[in-house]
Amino acid sequence: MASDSLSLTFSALSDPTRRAILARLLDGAASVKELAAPFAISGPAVSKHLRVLERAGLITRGREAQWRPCELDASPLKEVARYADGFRAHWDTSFDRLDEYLETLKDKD
Amino acid sequence: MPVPTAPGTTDYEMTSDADLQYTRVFAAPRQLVFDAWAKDEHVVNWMGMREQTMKVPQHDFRVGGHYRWEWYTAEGEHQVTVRGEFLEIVPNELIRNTEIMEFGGMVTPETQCGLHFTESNGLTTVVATVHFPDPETASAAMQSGMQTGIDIGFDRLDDLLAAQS
Repeated sequence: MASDSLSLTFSALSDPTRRAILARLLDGAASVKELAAPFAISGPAVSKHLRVLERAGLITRGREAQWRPCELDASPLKEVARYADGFRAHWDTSFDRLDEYLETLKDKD
Repeated sequence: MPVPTAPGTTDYEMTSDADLQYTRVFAAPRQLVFDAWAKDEHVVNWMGMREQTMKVPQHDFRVGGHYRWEWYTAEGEHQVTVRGEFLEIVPNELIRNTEIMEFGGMVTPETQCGLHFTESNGLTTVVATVHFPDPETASAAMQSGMQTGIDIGFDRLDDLLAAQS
């Protein structure tokens, strides 16, 4: 079981149904019933996905007993974006610098 | 697939569910390019963002040796650490190592990395491979983050984060 929060986020994002749920929640809070509607899966199956998303800190559930609206918390997604964007930015920039540095090394030879 | 054949661009590609490959061509002999990774006095001169300062407290370049690379802001604030172990070294041809990244209190899962150096017509091609511990990590981290934007689109995400903060 993933223990660090980034792995927990990765794991929660790995499922297409859960990503679709998050995409729906970008438009605003929704009930379990509303979230289940687009999918050919049962209410309990959707609830299970929601528990995974909740554990990863990607959604919060309202307190109202009847409705319990789900709401997106995007802050863990920011870490994923930082990881992926950072990786690419790191190597794009580093390789540009290496081009320049190799020129200086060649001049020394 | 658009694998670069001239210097200046980097190609990123998922070669399997759990494998990322990126390729770059350098206008320099293979030994020079290999040394840029192998020798810590070279590494600090190019790796990382321009505005960052890189420190290499550990760079034990032999099989079983460990390395630790740290980047700091101009103000001296720690930003990123990359650390791991060298698993295989073939001079001027191959480096295999493990890699763990730490940034902003996060620690990434350990990946297995490879650097393959080939030379042709005075150009050196570096093929870098990253093997993620599981497909979930790879697809979430790279396919979604780098290529499609987690089905959601980072533009909208940026807006949302701005609204929430």
